[in-house]
Amino acid sequence: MSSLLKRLKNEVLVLDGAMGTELHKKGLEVGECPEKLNLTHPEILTEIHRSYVEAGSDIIQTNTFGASRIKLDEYGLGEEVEVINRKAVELAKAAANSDTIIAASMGPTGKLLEPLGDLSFQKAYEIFAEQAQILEDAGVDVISIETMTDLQEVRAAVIAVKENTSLPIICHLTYEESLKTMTGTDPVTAVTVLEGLGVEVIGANCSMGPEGLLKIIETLGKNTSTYLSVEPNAGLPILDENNNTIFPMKASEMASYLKKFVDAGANIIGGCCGSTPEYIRLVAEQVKKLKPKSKNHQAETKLASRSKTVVIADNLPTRIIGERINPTGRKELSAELKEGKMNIVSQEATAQAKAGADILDVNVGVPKIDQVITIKQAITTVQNLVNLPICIDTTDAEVLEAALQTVVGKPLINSVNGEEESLNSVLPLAKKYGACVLGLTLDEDGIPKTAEGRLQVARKIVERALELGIKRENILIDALTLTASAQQEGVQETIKAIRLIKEELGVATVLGVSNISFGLPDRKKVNTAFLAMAIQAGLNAPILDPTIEEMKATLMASDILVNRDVSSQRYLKAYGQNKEAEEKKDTKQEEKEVELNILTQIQQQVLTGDKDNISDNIKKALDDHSALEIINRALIPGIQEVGDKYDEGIYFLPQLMLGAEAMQNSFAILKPILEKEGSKENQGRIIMATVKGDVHDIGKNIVKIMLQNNGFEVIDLGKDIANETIISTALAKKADIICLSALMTTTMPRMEEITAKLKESNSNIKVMVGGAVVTEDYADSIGAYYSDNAVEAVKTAKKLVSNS
Amino acid sequence: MIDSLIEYSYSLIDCKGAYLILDKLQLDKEDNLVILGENALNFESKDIIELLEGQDKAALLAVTIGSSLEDKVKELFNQGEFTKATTLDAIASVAAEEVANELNTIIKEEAISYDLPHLTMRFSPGYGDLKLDIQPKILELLNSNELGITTTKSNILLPEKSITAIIGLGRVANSYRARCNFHCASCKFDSCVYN
Repeated sequence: MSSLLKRLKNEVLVLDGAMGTELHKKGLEVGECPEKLNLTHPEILTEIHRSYVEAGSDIIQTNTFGASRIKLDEYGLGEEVEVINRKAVELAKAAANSDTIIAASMGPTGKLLEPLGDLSFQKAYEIFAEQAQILEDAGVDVISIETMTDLQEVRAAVIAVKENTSLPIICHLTYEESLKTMTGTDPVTAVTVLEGLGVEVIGANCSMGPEGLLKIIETLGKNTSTYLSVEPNAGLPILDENNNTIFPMKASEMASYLKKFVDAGANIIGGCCGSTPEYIRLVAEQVKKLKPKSKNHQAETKLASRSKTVVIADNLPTRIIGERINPTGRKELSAELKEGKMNIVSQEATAQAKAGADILDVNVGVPKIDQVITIKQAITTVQNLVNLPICIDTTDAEVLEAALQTVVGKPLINSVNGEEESLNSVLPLAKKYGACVLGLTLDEDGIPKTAEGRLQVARKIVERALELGIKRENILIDALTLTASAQQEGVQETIKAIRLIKEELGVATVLGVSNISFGLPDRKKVNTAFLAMAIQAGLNAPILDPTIEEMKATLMASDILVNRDVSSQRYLKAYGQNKEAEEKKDTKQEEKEVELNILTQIQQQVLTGDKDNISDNIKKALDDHSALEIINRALIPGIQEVGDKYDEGIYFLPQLMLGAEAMQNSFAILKPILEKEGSKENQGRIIMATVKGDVHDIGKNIVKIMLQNNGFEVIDLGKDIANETIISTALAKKADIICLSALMTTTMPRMEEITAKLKESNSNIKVMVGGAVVTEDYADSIGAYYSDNAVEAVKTAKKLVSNS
Repeated sequence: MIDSLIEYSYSLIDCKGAYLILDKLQLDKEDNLVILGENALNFESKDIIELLEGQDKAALLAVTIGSSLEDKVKELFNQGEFTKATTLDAIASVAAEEVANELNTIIKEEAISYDLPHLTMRFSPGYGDLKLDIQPKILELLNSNELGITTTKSNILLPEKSITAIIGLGRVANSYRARCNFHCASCKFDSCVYN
């Protein structure tokens, strides 16, 4: 065992403080490569390391945060990756005491990984693997991954280190005030994914200062028994009177949080930006007196997407694995997948999520297509739309690995079975990518007839997985459903097998239930009865179609009866009201389903920016719907969802624009009809312009499109427009709002002049402002309304119109 | 899509640039007056005084990537190709910045030949207290007609994707940097344009 892990059992260890800010103090200029100093000014590095060792650091970190090839390339130093990393380790070692632990710092690539950006998982993996191998070879004791904000990049880094070195990993993520990372991952989800990957120490660094980080460590402490590390920064940076960046928090103030960190479960404490040797001295003095708090968090079966964790346990509600994304027996879906289209996939993903699925199964098993490409597309499509964990449904190792690289979070692999070939190809992938794995109780001899036979296969799968280092909580077993009409006597064997597997192996169970009724009439009746029995026997996660109301109802009712739904809360929430509405719905159900379908499809197409196919659907929808109805029930909800995703940081400007293009194509068809129908209902009239003297209008154009797409009538006067023209047009056209853009401080005063003029003339037209130099404070000071992006602008405009 | 647009943008970029190195720097701290090269250029700016403190020469530069790319952006916008338009606009901004970086390198080489190896940051009108009205004067000194850069009445450059700037050349480093007036703590940007 490494000395780090040995010492963590009984001690709270002291990490070092900031490197970057110390380097700047010693003359590193902003814009210079900090890692180059390893070669040019080694004495500075030795001095900083030495100061931390003397202050009492048990662990010091090498100056290699940005020393990955891709980062060094930004300074034209990519080819020096080996010497820079080696030198860094040498310098840290030179400053170390004999028992000092050397941690190699590894930071983000600075690029966003797919699907948020365009760096592929494989490429990121290679970058991290290269740096980690050099560092291990140079003799470090542990890898410290720091300041990560993208869960996918974290996965690439951790897997690369695990696969290519034998070093323990400390993995720090950076959270924002929202207590999520920049790309939406909360600490509980981080724990789920990092534990799955077998990270030895989970941590958080930088960003919010000690107070915010304490909240993160408290949450982590309650959700894991893995060791925790924290590196707070010295508060948020501010500028002093000489325009130097300074970190406001004094060492003593930072140190006042130390005991709280240890109480919350921290095992390693250091510092980030702005922390100093003086602070580390205080850390060493205080924490050396403290014992690490023991954390007894029960191991749980957990899956995760980027932003959500789903726990599967006997005392928690039965989890639904939505089965609808599967081309077996579905011609339309097969045809679409063949063409590489994802319309039905997107539709099914949202429909199942709305219907209450907890996990989504993704299967693209269409013969004669490139399933590697298709599964990547399908998973990306699903994860862009909904935040549910994925169940990857394939037995092909190559397809599985591609899927495991694409998926964000901690997926369930569906499936491995008792056959040697399957065990040998699937289990190592489950281990490598930190996934949960579903074992089917069949082997070379087929499906055992008896419950005992299936238990035996399950036992073999569990044992083999444990041997490989896969934890018990990451194994799930499917006791397999046989068809009642063909093998009636076998039904109870499945039920019995669930019980046996639960009792002996203690793993979570999964079951595809719909097969039971094959060949029988009115299948729902049989399916629901079987589902209830299986839940009674201990089934945790059925694979079913959540859009079938009866199945969901049976599941909810069963959960009350097996005491998984505490105080019947979920049941009451779902069925406590709206009884009448429920009955009405039944009679009209069928009609409505078709209706919903085409409108949902259109909404979906806005969400995915499918501008090529949306026109056809609009024309189709016009058979049964008025233009206004299509706008209000499909297009507007679609673009609003796009806006929400933009707000959450899931979508970026390109997706916003793709959605806008789909809207625009739809409006092109609907506008003439609207005019004919005379239903010129709109949200309000807006005059837009870039102010006099300013010629920049890309931002204004983006805002304009978003406003139009949300039902506003926009009169765009263009750029470089005189105050008088703007005001007179607004008055003549009886506008509700004037929207002004300015990019320069020199043209910004036009905004103030216009608001003042309007006030003079007692007009109640509201003014909205935006642009690079415009701030909320400025807007307030001139009595205008500010928004800092197009999505915000739409919200502001709606508020203004509804208030007036 | 991004890759193919970058590829495509090359056909529409027509980069041009010019620079001029002035000496005889006079910095009048009392009146915040800067006079460069035998009165070739004079203006008020506290920031430039700080920037050129201890520097021996100053370079003026202007670059542009031409107007074809921004015309294309407008055309795409009007055609409803918003995604392509916004992406291409971002590419254009990066391209202009890169052209300026390239010219920076050329200036640095010449600076080294004068034994002035340290360049200050590239300080553009609009940063800090350096007013935009200096842009026509810089362009005039650089014979900007040949570059195809003009200014609007409000002193904004046309084509939009153009840059003018002042750089100090010195025997010693001056790391003075422009700063925005806002508070870093509440800044929402991932990277700082002033870095």
